[in-house]
Amino acid sequence: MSNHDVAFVPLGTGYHQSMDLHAVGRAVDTGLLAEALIYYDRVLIHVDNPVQFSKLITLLMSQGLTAANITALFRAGVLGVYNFAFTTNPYVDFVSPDSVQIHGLYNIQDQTMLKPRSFFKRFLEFEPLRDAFENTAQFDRFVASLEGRVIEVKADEIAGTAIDNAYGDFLNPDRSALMAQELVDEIYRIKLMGKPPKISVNVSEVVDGHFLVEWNIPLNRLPAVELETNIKAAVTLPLSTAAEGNKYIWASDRLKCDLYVSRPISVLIGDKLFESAETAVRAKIRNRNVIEELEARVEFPDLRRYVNLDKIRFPQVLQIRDKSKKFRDWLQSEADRDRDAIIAYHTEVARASGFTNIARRGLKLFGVLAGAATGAAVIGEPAIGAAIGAAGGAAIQAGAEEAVKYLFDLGADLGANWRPVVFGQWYSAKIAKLLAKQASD
Amino acid sequence: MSPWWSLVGVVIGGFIATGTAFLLEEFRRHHQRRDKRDDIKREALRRALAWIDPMEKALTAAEVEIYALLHGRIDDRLFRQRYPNLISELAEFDLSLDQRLILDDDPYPLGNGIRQAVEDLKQMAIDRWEQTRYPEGSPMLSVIDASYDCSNTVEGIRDRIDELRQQLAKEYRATLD
Repeated sequence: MSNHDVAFVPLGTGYHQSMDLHAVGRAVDTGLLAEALIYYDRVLIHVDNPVQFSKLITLLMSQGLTAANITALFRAGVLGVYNFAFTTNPYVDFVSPDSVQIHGLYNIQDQTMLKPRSFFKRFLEFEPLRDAFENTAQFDRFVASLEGRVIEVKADEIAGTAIDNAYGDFLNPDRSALMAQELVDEIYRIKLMGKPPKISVNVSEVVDGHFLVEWNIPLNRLPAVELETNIKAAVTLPLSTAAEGNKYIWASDRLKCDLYVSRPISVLIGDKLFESAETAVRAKIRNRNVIEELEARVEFPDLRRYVNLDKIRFPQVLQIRDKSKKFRDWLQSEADRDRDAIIAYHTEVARASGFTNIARRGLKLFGVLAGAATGAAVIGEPAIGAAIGAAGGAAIQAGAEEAVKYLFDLGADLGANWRPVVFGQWYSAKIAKLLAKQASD
Repeated sequence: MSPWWSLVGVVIGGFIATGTAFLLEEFRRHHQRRDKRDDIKREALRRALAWIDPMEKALTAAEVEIYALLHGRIDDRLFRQRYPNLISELAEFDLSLDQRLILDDDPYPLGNGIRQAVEDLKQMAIDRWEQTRYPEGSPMLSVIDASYDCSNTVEGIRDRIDELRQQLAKEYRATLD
């Protein structure tokens, strides 16, 4: 059963997500949080490290929330925390300025992360977080409000499936090009570099199990968005972004909740969901792909932008939330999602919140948007092995069963046990074309 | 030295001795009065500080009952019964008029405001609970938003209790200087 009242929202900025804010030195995307709060009853925030968490709290305070407001948001369960108690990093050697040897992508955890409730130790004992509060009593109440509001996942639980699948994509030339293209497009857009080049990738096996991946433009010479230098390990970014995206999907599938994500990871998440659903179609679990897009122009302020520019303060966001119950009801009524209704609700809520004569903005969401009747039509329950065989063309590396099983499991869940809605930018055409090409090869 | 000068010296010495004794006595009396006033102040502050514990306990109990009501574990009748009655708990720590008058900042308005806020919270919780139930099938408010409204008010009251504690502690410390 899907929870459309909860959204998983990654807030840390970087090359995987919210790159535009990373470029201007913001560590967290409070604008994304503001938007998610409008559409969802509950928001599960994810940040990568204690620094981002303390900056999130400090930024929310500077954007008008009191410590009492923030504590109340956690205490009531409006906000929760999803913590991966490990990091996913590539292990690389810089062979030459233009060449990097990737030994692998690993889930890494230190001794503290291995312990139960490591979030409380790592994040809440971080001194700058304490300094954000006026006094000890206030801080202690904030800490108490997080009790029961933190979901912590250890590396063992997710195992290697998300990584294996990302590696499979990385070693698939067309898929790898698609992933790198998103990164390059975003950098070109932020740095105002004009039309981005079309990326192509060549993958060849050099020794048993070792592959040479070459791009038509040297990724390591791409300019960093936040500094006047190049991104030295840029070749690892498509891989780590794909792994991160798979982690987010894994978490949302486990919680049966929705996702609220920014670019460029939103595109990779969309591609992966589409591919999983396509896998289910090919494995004859379903007779049609259930992942759809909804794109509309709505009369509603661009909250993410205005909050990140500090033009709309957070108390106002919470006032808009008070008037936005219709959005949340719309999302929760799976069987009866009327496209025109959601557009009309935006106009209504904007006016009720005091916004008039505002420019229209794009509303972009995708996922299992249709009603239950058109969702999962299970037309057979093949053995897992058969399904892996059917979808095997999607992965080229040796021993990729885990990676494909990941797709199969996800595909089986999609539309049946889990009917995710994802707020974020994604265009189905590219991945649909690519998968069709692979299927015909 | 002429005897006149000796006499003048004796008179002046007498004046100085008398004046010093007078001043010392005044100084002692002043200290006694201040000590007495500080004793009364400290006693008043101790009584006022004794408000804090019942206030915090009542607020925690109120929050527990509010969450039980909003999440449907108890009905409104039981909620009204169980909701803490702060005024009866604070009555035994009430300050006399003398005690209130001697304090630099009368803590009564702040304390009374907190007591009233805890009472208002009860009505607010019932109001929000009703909004989560009606109209049937399409209630005005979600339980989570109702919980946030109530928790936000609770946290606001906790901040006021902190303010009261700090005000009293500051004045108490001043009596020891």
